[in-house]
Amino acid sequence: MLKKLRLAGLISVCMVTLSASGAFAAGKLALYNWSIYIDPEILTDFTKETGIDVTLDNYGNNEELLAKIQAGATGYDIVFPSVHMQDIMTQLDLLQPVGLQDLKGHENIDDKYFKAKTDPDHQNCMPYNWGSTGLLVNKAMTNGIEVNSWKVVFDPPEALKGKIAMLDDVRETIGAALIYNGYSINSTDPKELAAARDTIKKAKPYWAAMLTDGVGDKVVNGDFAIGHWWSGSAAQTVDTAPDKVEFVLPKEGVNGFQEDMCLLKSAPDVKEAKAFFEYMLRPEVAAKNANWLRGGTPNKAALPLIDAALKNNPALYPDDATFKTFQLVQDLGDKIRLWDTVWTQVKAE
Amino acid sequence: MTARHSWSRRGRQALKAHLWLFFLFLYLPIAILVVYSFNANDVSMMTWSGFTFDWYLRVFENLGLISRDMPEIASGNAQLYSDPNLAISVINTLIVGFTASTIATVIGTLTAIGLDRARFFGKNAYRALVMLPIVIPDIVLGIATLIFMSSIGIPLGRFSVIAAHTLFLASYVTVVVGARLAGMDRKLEEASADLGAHPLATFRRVTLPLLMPAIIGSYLLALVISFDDLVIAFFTSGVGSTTLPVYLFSAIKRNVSPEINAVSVLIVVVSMSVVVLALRLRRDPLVK
Repeated sequence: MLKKLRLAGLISVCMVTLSASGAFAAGKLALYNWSIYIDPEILTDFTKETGIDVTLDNYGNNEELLAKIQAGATGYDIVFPSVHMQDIMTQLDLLQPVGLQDLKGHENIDDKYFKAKTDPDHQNCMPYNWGSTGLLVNKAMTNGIEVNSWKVVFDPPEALKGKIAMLDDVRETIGAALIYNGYSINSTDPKELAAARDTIKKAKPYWAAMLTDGVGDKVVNGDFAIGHWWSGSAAQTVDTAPDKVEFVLPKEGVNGFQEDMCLLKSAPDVKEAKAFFEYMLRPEVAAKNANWLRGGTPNKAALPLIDAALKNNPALYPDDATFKTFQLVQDLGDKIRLWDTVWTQVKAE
Repeated sequence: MTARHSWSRRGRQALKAHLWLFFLFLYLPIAILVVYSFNANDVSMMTWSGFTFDWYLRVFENLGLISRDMPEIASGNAQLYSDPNLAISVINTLIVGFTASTIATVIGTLTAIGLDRARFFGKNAYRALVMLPIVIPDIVLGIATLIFMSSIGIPLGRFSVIAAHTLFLASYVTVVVGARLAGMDRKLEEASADLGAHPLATFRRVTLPLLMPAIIGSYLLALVISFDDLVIAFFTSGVGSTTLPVYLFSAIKRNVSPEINAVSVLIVVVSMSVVVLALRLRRDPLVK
């Protein structure tokens, strides 16, 4: 046994030495991204073309990203915050401008997409992917019921009671209730928030669940008739069972989200990072990624290359009139406490 | 007729029922996970559509243990591709676990012996401080370690995760080995010295063998704790050093591939084997 232990010790020591002698090859790039949020082939293609080694690490949400970078994690070059998180990170001086106007292909970015308050011209970061939160609907179970409004989840018909799943997410679900009541998704008016709270309290007994994972599967299986769900994930589900489910954007408006590609202030590989920004600006690369993500590309020149099935889906690529009904979640600063209070009251029911 | 024990029959039955329920409560979820890791359905993980080894094969292939022609996944589904990062994270977890546990076992054992034998000023305060990493919440330890490392300029990577893990695992080892030392019969060492053994020889031939079950036990305990740790690894990992728990934690919030079930089952198997091994090695060499 002792011999075995010695061997284990020896192996461990070797492992440390190996891990410490990491190759410092010229040309490396470190991405820090949401999980499953970039087509892995794009990274291998980029390496083939440029010789730059790419590492990819993942975080689960904006808050984790912020916690990690704010506490001083270094070594990463490019991060992918949501627009409101870009504002927060800019205010905390964690980002450096990319200078998009100097990059080849910058004219491909469509100006109509969401802009961070701190970046009104899309110069500091590059819009990466956008989508919306709507309703994933089981066609058979909603037969004969019109699903085009938030009313169907906040004031459901008898047939759907107990078959509705809403997101367990403070900004998404209170946001939807605010929109249903005709208010802004970023409202901080206590009266409006109280109205949203009462809407949710009244509807909650008719909901089967509040969750943030696996909604797609359960709508296909018929566990839920309607699920409050994100467009990209919903599109993947619709792909697998197009005859059973569809994705709908309620007419009152929806929460639109967008993630941007940003360069960290502490980035060690600025040159390589800029090369990667230019690579991602290419229409064929942007289209490949958007097709893989089932997401919306902010790249005008990539649109002709988007899969027809995605492009012809009005819930994924809405016309301009519908796009105007998208409301972007903003950073609310201290006022988020009001929301948290409302959320606690709702959840405690 | 005297009862052999003070429990009534009904009390014993209740206790037995409680044990079974507890066991079920603990292991049923794991059993379900094991069953569904063989589910062929790649769209809806919880709908049974046939038996397959495919997810395991995929994991093994990702780890580079086997190579085979992978069938193309239908429709290039983004949620269902074999992610090379999964394999990298498994390798990182193993490297971090074995390295940190080894170093922590050496440091912790020596600390325990020092605390048991040496006399120095502030010993009790020191003993209390050694316990601290076990007591304070992981998140405090994680953030504090990260801030400390970034302020003295240690780059984040595998090294920083190993350092952070070594730090708090050493405490566990100190406590386990210390407990063994406290219960050890000093007469054996005295006898060895009495028979003319050099102190070093006494240590090697008497003390160390007596401590060995605790040392090995604490090493394996450290290994399992390291494999299991999410919070500290999350904060201290850097570029390319994501460990498996950190990977799973970020992946689970989006769509999850059934491969994750297979990996989870493999982790359970490895952890359980380690625990069984630990229990077998904990046998006291002096008690037949």
